[in-house]
Amino acid sequence: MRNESGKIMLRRFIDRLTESGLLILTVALGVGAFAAGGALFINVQQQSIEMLNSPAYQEIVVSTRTDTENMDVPVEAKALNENAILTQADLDAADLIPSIEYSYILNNSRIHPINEDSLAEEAEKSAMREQFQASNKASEDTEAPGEPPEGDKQGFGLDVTDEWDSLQASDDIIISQEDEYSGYEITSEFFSATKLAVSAGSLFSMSDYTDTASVIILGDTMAQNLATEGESTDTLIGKRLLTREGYQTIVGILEPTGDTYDALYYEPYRDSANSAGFTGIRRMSMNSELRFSVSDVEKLDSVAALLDDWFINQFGEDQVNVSNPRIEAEQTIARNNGISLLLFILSLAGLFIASVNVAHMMLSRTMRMKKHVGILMALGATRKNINRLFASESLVVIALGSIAGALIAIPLNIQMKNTLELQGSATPLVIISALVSALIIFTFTQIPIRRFDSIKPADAMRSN
Amino acid sequence: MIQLENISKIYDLQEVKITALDNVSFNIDRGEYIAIMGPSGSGKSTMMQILGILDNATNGVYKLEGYDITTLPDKEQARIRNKHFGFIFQSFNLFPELSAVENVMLPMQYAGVPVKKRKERAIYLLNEVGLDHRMNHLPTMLSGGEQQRVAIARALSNEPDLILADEPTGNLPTEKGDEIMDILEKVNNNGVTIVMVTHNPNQGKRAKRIINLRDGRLESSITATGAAYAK
Ligand SMILES: Nc1ncnc2c1ncn2[C@@H]1O[C@H](COP(=O)(O)OP(=O)(O)O)[C@@H](O)[C@H]1O
Ligand SMILES: [Mg+2]
Repeated sequence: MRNESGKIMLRRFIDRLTESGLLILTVALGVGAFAAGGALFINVQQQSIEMLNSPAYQEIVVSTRTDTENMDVPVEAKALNENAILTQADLDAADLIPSIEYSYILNNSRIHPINEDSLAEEAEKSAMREQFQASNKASEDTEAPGEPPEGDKQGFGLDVTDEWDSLQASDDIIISQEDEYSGYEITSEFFSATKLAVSAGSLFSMSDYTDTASVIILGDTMAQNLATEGESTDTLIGKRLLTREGYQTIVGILEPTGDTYDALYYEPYRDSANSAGFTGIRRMSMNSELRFSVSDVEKLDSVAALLDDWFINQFGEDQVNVSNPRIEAEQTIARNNGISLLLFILSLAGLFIASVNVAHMMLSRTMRMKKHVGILMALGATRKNINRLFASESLVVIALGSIAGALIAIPLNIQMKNTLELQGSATPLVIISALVSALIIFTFTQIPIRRFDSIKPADAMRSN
Repeated sequence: MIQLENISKIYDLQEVKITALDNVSFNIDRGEYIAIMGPSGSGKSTMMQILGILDNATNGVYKLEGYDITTLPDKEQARIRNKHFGFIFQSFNLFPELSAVENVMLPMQYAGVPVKKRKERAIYLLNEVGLDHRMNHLPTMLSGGEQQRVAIARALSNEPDLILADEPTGNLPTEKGDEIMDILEKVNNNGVTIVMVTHNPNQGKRAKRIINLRDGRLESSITATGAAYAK
């Protein structure tokens, strides 16, 4: 503080610490309320729009019915109900319904990289297996051999123990230290429906869907996870990721989406007719999902009804489940909108009450300085100087209060966001809302200060 | 330097109108030392406020160096008060939050003087009025006489042409009042014009001209020797 007039304000501020503290607290509460409420409201609006625009909520999901989660259904009935197996052929349903734009299969998939850890684990298990078989033999020879320990029936998949050293040395082979990666088995229209595109390499060719060689496309963050430090992810194209499930040749890398797609990989779906029976069994137990994307969301319900008819016709009642995720999304959105609107209005009320109070407190502070104003004007201060002096006092008070308010609002907002299951960081929104509310309070405080605009120094000095 | 022509000031208090000044005309020359005298309520303070552009006259013309200043915008009036006038009040009117030095520095802030120069000059002026040992004291820690000397130093900070002092010794014991009078006389000897309101005839006599007001009218304007002032 280099100006004498500023020193007057500062020292008055410090001398009246309780009052000044209350003033800052009032600002903090008003800003805190509005920053949290405003940020939440905007956040909910943004997420609603994003959610409804997302391809995942513009499609009908068809899956085999699993009653495993339904406690009312007896166990025998559950097994009975899993007769239907959905395959690529069932995507034909789309041909009969013009509103369907794309149809594809989306199955969960997992791959397990081979690395030092997994090799060590495997060595340990095979030692156990040998020991088990040896002890089995040693006991009764007449009895059928016992079962090896559970989970080891299929062995370890790809066995690379002998070539490990040369594989490690190879530039062409990627060895990942992760335990596993998640991804999807997809059919070709998946990429069109989700509007995913490659930043390097290419999408699957038609033959990739029928060949037996393993090929994968990587999401952006998974690619970054696999790429050598400091190198572009483009260098991964054509290389092979070593997994228990085999060598996975990387053919493409997707553009980043900022969505869950980024962390995953994608492999072509192959009907059991084209590939080994083993995958067919796996797919059945994993419950294939068909997706039918509809460009006109108004038609989702009617498409769902048509698909339901088609699949009942195909497999009978209660075999497949036809669901419309958008309905649930809309319910969630309606609930979140209601809550956030209420909170927003309450926070607005809080801000308004705080603004009026702050303006009133600032007014009484300035009115007590009427004599100061008179003397300052006698000594050469213009009305502009005086207005600026009080405005800067307001600014400092509001700035301090707003920082405190934002600090209150950030954890509040995170709490609320978690409660409403919203994604993404809303902290920038909190800061923007805090700035907006600070501006609103400042505007309120500027109304009373204008009262000095027409006062004569002689009148001001006469007061006490 | 200043011409006042038919200055009237009427305070409009809804029920009554008080005529504080009634058609007062006189001139002030550069370097003069004028005492304004008159009974309580005769309009002396009102006169000083109009002279200092702290208030507007209801009627009449106020010319400073030939320019009518009553219609000047706020910014220009503030600049004149800041650079050309120095005020001394009966109740000192120092800022209680600021030390003696800072009180003296304040008018220079509005004149755009850099902080270092402000401080230098404030210290110099406080030395001049004999307060070298009270620089960093707050007004509450100073005696009345000391406070008024700080006020004089503050009035002199921007080297004014005119000092307006409304009963500068009114709140002080006689001997302290005389010290203030000595300082003002010294300031006048350096060429600064002084207009001072006083009740004290002895102080009045020290001025070079006495203007007597009665009921808002100019009763007489006489030189120190008692001769009528012609002009
Ligand atoms: N702000 C004011 N409002 C109303 N009347 C005032 C005001 N200031 C002064 N007066 C009146 O104007 C007259 C002159 O007052 P003033 O100039 O203070 O006299 P003096 O300084 O000579 O004692 C008095 O009658 C006083 O009551
Ligand atoms: Mg008076």
